[in-house]
Amino acid sequence: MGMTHLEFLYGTRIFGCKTCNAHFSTTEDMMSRAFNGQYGRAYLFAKVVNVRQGEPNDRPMTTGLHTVRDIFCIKCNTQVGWKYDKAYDEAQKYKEGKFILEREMIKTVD
Amino acid sequence: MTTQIFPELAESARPAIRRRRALSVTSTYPSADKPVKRRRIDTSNHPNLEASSLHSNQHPLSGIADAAEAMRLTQAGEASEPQGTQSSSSSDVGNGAAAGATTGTYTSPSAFIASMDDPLVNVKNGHVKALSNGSTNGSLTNGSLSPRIETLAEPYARHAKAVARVFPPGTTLYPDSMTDREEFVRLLLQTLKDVGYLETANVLEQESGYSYETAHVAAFRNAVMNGKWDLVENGLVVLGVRDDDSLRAARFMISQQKYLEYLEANKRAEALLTLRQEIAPLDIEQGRLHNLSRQVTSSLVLGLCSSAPSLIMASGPEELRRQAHWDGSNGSSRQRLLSHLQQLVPSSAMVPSRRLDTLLQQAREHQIQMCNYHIGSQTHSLYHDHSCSRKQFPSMNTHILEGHRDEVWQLQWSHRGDKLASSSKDSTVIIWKIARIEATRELDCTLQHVLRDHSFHINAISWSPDDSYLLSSAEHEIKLWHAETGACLKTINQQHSQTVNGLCWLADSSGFVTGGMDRRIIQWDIKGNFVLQWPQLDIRILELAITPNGRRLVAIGQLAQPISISNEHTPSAHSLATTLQASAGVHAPTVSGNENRTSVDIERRIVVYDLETRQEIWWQSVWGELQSVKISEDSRFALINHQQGDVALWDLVEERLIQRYVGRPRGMCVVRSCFGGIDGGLILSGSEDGHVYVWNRRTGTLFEMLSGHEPGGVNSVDWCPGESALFASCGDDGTIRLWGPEPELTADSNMVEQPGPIVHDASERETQNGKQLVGGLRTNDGYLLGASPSRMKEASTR
Repeated sequence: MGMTHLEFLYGTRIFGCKTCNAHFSTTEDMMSRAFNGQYGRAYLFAKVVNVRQGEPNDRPMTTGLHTVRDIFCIKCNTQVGWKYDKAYDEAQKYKEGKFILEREMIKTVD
Repeated sequence: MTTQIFPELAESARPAIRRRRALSVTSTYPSADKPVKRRRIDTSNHPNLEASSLHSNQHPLSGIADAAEAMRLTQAGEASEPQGTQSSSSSDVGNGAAAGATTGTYTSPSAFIASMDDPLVNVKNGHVKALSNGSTNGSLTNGSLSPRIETLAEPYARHAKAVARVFPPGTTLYPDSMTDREEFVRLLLQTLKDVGYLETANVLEQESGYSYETAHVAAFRNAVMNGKWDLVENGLVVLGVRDDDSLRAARFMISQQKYLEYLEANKRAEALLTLRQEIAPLDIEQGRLHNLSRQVTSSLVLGLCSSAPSLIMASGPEELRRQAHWDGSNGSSRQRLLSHLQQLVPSSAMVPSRRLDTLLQQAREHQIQMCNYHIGSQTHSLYHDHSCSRKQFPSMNTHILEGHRDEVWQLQWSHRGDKLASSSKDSTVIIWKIARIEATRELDCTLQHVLRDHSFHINAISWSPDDSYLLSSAEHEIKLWHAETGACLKTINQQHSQTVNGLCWLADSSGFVTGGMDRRIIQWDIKGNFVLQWPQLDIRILELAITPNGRRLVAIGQLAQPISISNEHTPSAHSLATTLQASAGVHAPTVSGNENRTSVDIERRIVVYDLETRQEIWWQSVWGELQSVKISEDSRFALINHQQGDVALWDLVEERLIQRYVGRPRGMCVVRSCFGGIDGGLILSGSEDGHVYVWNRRTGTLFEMLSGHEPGGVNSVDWCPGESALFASCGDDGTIRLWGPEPELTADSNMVEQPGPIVHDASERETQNGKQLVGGLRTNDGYLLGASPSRMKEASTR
């Protein structure tokens, strides 16, 4: 495969890995701040880069059953959130293909 | 006049003449023992030195305004004709022996007298040439000079038959040739005379009707070489130098030489007179002078201009020569003056020295540039075009180095070429010792150290200029290693917040520079102590390189924030105009705030900094990912890999794209390229398709796609310094491969059908962390036929 550079984003505010500063997403791609994760507040993003996706599994959440994958920072391998593969509740369909980043695991990076 | 100036040289000059005669039995040169009859005829033909009606009638320049001066020159030319012919090799600057002979023979009274009854070959030809202006149709001129042609043949009659002139058709060498016959013959004449085939040259002059140079040129040359300064300037005019600037420059150079020679001869009054009456009136200021002498490129002139008056205080000739950086009238100074003045004269009148040899040298260089497989060691023959055989080209795997447990991403030879460092996705760096065994010319490869302290995969490595240290970076972490012991001397992991892709050493080994995706460039001392940080850059550094001369730092990077985004930009827009527009802010950012841009459409830049001032000298915006940068040995060119497949060669001085090397497929990963070949005449690059691509640097021709490093991509290639046919590649298969020429096939080996790689003598060694590493070395049996197999040696442990 060869060496690849981490992806770096343009944006007014860039969210990255708290551990290693890898870029994840930008305020322009943020859809909602009103989520809760494992460690408290979490954000929903339309697009996230520099993450590796885990295996899909079904999880019952406060808004119903979802098929999700955990996502990990490709640089430091820390788990930083998850991705929605499928929402079984019609009202939650908008989350499909979107990403959750836990506020505790990210920070504003340069 | 001639004999008065240098009477003391007259005696010493005689032996020179005799020697020449002895060498050339059938010499046609004038001598004191010529037949009385001939002398009578010739002297009767010879003009009175003060007023010659015969010559003024025949002289081609008799019509020009300055006829009187032209006459003086002609007389001088004829007077010196024997020497002009005999010693035309002295036109070569640096042909000291010939120059000495010239001076000697010229001043010999006997030679001077002899010149009275000179065989007027050259004088005649000179006139023919001037009259017919180079035309090969000699009938008119021959007609007008017919009485002389009769006498012309006479000197040769004693020794050989008179040579009839030949008139080939046309003006070129062959009917379909581009080569002008007269030019060619004159170059031949120059060469023949240079090497001493003087008689042949004379015969050729007769047979062809062309003369190497006119009597005016010979006269001019002799005037310079013998210090007859009052004739020199007129000589220039006769030779076609007419414009005022050139003449001013010439006058200045002549007066200067004259001034120095007076000083050297301790004639201060005359020197002062020259300074006052000749140099001062020229009123040449330094700036003006520079302008005048630009075409003459005479640093001598500039240097002397300011110091001329003070030289009069010099205590003796020695000090004078030292102060003026001038080697005296008997040294090469007159030759140098001549070559400077010659640059003002049209080359058709005065052929530049060693012209034919120069042309052949150019042909040779061109053939070498066109030779894709050039390895530099071959002798060149004029009989056939130069070309190196592919047999000597490193086109096949000779050694396979195994030691990494994952993809190998980068490799770099030490500057001496005796070690190879490789870095891998497995977070280790390996130092290999590669030695050439003198007796067998075989390579001996040893795994020397595994550097395994990094916690991420390795992004970059760099040898120090003296090969004592190795730097490696893994994400934001940098380590400094002692190359010989493999000890980690320093770990830096605080100052950079993002991946460090750029590692390069200062040319003087006093420290190194690191550059990261955090837009920081930081300088460190030799021990890895922080020295300074550059102001934050606009770009995230993808790779850095410092020119070998230590002056410039070349960075490739991606813009951190959009500055000059425009849809008008296309990936192929590498023009200077683009740069100028962008740097002038012509294109305002057109990106709206909520548009999420990916790395694909982020602008990349090549930026050149002055390493001392840390100022941006030049930058160029480029679209599409940049992968690697290498600088040529001469510090002038940067080789940059583009993700879309191109390898581009940029001229850092002229700030433009010189050549693109195409054919490599587009890829996703970082693939590195290098200069190769004995003189950097090749461009090599890895590729994700598993081939090594090789181009001719000059022509851009892709002439090799070497296979042998599959499966997986070839991530990096590096040519071994000082080797004509050895390079290394590393790839996704976790190996490093050395490439060499195909073996000479013997009768036995013809039977062998490309045997697969075989593992030889795999060995294990204990590493510093107590882990086991399986290291091995495979060689292709095919290569090793008749030689002892290369083998993995037990690496010395610390």
